[in-house]
Amino acid sequence: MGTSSLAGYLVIKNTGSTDDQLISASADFAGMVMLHKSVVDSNNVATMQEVQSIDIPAGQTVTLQPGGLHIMFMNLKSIPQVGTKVVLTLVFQKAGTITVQADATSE
Amino acid sequence: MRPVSSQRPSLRVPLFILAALVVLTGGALLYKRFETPTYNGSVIDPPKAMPGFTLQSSNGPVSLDSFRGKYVLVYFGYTSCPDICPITLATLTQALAKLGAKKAENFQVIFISVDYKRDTPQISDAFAKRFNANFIGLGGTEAQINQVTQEYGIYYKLNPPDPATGFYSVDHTALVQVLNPQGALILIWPFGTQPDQETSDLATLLGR
Repeated sequence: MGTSSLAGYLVIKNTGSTDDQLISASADFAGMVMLHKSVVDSNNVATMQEVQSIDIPAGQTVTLQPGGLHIMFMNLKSIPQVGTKVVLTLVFQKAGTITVQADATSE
Repeated sequence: MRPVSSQRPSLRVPLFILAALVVLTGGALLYKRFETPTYNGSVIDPPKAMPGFTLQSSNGPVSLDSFRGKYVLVYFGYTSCPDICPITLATLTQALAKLGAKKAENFQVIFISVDYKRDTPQISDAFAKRFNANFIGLGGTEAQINQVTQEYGIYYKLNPPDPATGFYSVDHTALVQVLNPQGALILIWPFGTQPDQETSDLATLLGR
């Protein structure tokens, strides 16, 4: 109890010559996964918006980081232990499905 | 071979500059002792007396009044917040750790969930304690949350649930409000304030 959602941050590098898009993500520990963007406006109000996709232009690197874009994991079936690795499945428009490993951290 | 006499006048200039530097440095140190302390957050001057509140934690009701004599760091958020709220609480955790356990005893972090629909006091308290066992997480009824957010200048809105998943996000003011030991608002940190900046401000508060 006390953890109802988790955020995933990663660096995505498009080494190819065509633009791509991250369109969805999944993980076995989460029943629901969404792509989100956090925004804090000039009045210090934080909002979170769902984004349908994240552009990964050719030859460029896109960073999902705290306070910006993140993958949000909800309906947690289990909470990954800090220090372990989790497997994430990323689906790209052109590159298709790619599986990556990520570190579970406390921050 | 150079005549010795030609070197002597040129020495005097650096010596004079050195003397001037010593005087200037001395002056700067003296000035620093008497200048007003600078903060990374926004200073509320004079401090603004804030209304008290009594909300629920997992161990029963908690009143702001019971922390008189301590600085109280209040943050409003919600536990389904994956990003902004955990970053803020993790930053506070790091800032207090850098300050040192002894000095950190002068500060109480209180997390108040505005998500009265999902976050019971138990969920709110467990969320806060995930970051630091000394943090307190509180929850309240819709009426209580409306009152305390209004009194503390906090905007919040529970967004309509996603039709497919039922999930909803919450818009909320993301500020850490620092109350002095008399319960008056003295300092505000916006989102993005770094642990080092907070540690510096906390040390400055204690050193006043």
